[in-house]
Amino acid sequence: MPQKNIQDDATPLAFENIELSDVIDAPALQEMMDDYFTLTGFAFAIVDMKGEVLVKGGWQDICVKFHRAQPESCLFCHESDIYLSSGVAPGVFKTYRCKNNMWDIATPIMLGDRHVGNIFMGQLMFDDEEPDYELFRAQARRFGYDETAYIAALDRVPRYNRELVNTAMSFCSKLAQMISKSNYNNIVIAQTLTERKLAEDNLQQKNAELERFTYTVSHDLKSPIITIKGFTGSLEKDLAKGNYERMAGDLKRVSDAADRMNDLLRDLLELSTIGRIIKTPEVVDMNLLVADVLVQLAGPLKNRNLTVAVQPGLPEVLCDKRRMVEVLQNLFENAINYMGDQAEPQIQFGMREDNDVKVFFVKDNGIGIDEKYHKIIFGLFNKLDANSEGTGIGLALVKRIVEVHGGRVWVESKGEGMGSCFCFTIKEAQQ
Amino acid sequence: MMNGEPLTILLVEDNRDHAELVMRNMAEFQVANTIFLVEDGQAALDYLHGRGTYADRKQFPIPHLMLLDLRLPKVDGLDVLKEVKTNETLRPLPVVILTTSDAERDMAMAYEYHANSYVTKPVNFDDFSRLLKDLGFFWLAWNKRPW
Repeated sequence: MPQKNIQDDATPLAFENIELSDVIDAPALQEMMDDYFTLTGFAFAIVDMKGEVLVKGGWQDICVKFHRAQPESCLFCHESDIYLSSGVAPGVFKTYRCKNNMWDIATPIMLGDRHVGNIFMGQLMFDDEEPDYELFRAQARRFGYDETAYIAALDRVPRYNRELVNTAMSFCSKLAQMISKSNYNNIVIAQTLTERKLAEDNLQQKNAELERFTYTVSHDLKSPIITIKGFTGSLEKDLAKGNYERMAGDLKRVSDAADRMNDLLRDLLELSTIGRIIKTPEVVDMNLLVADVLVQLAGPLKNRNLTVAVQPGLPEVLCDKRRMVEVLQNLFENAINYMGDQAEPQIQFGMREDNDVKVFFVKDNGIGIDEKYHKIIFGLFNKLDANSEGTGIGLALVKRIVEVHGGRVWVESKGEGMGSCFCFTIKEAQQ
Repeated sequence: MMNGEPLTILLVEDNRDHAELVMRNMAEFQVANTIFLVEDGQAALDYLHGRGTYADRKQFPIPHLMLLDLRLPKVDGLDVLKEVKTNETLRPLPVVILTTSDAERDMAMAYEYHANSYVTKPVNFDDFSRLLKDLGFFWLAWNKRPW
């Protein structure tokens, strides 16, 4: 099968963009039509709607060496190929005089209900009429042909019986219909397969995501259970032995583990709602949004004697405002919490353009992140320091929100002690 | 234990409560002289290779047993295992995966990377105690090792 769009590309072109050359196997058809020419002696061509000749054979000198060789008369050939041949129903053929006064017969090739090309037979004369030599001499003068050679070429044009030509054309017409139908079916099948493949890939991705999610959740929720059961077991033993000294500590461990489970469940609920209840995106002024977030973080910022430098004149973005607040909150909180013992702590918020893509960033001069951890920090419940506060959901949440908005998030940091720059993209509001 | 040499365990565990449970039980049964605790995969590798903080081999000897959790900060437990088992010097070190995960894939991967044993942390305290006692005695007392 020839169809490059069906076989070679992962996604076939949209129907309206498919051209005849995409769906026919021109070399195979050429071989077939060569045989047809040997059998019948009829010149033929398969031409697309731009006038491009894809398959041809048996062409007459009068067409090749004169009409198509001279720019002005060649224009007539193209016009004839495209316009005079139009308006023919599938399975039917039309006999007409081309603008250079040769007989041509055309039958359309359809793709569904789209006319994508024609099969032509022609460059012939009928045996029941005499050529109008005066007309052709006038044509020779008009286009500057060598008149004698031109008339000689005209005399070489074969003359056929109309009925024979009609039978041959009926064959071509049926062939065209067959090509149309089989190609149309192939495309429909290919598109269905592609759609199915996309749906399958999507499903597979969702399944993998779900599997990772279940794995993480089952592991992380089981951990506190082991702690609770382990220390209550130990407490029972100690109680039986009258060994009271570590009881208070163990009870605290049990209580903290229960709190941790509670936190995990709360965060999971939060994460699971993001994909679903994201509101219709609205146009949000990033300047105002950042200002809001910084007001909310006034306490922690003041505690660490921090100010945030915000780049003026930020653009508007299209987003779910409440979710975008969460993104910024998390990124600022991380910048604050991982400042380390920096003597001159600084946080910046701004926007830069990378290859015309607007990239927002929260940049700090805190403890930084080694390059090898740049990916895993965005994983659910992944923490670089097991004993730091929180469940480790913050960046997973940020990632999910940004991705649901069709954006991307990543970190840039030259390593420990070098500060971090968290970057994300988001759709800009159209003016 | 057999010949009175000090026996050491490297415990790689990011959950401090679980680490305390392990150490409390190990102490009770007196199976090891020293348990070194590291809280992430990177620290485990640094310890095993004697790098950075762990450069002094006298203070931080190659352990006789490693109890390794899987889901760890920085470097995953499976990656730690893989590195140990592809390192000629470290390869004989018995690595027991001690994890909350009973995911088949984790177990399959652990054995793929030549874990010596794979056990999940029992929820029940008595089982937890017994497991650690059995593990300690088997790997430190019964098992023969090149160092």
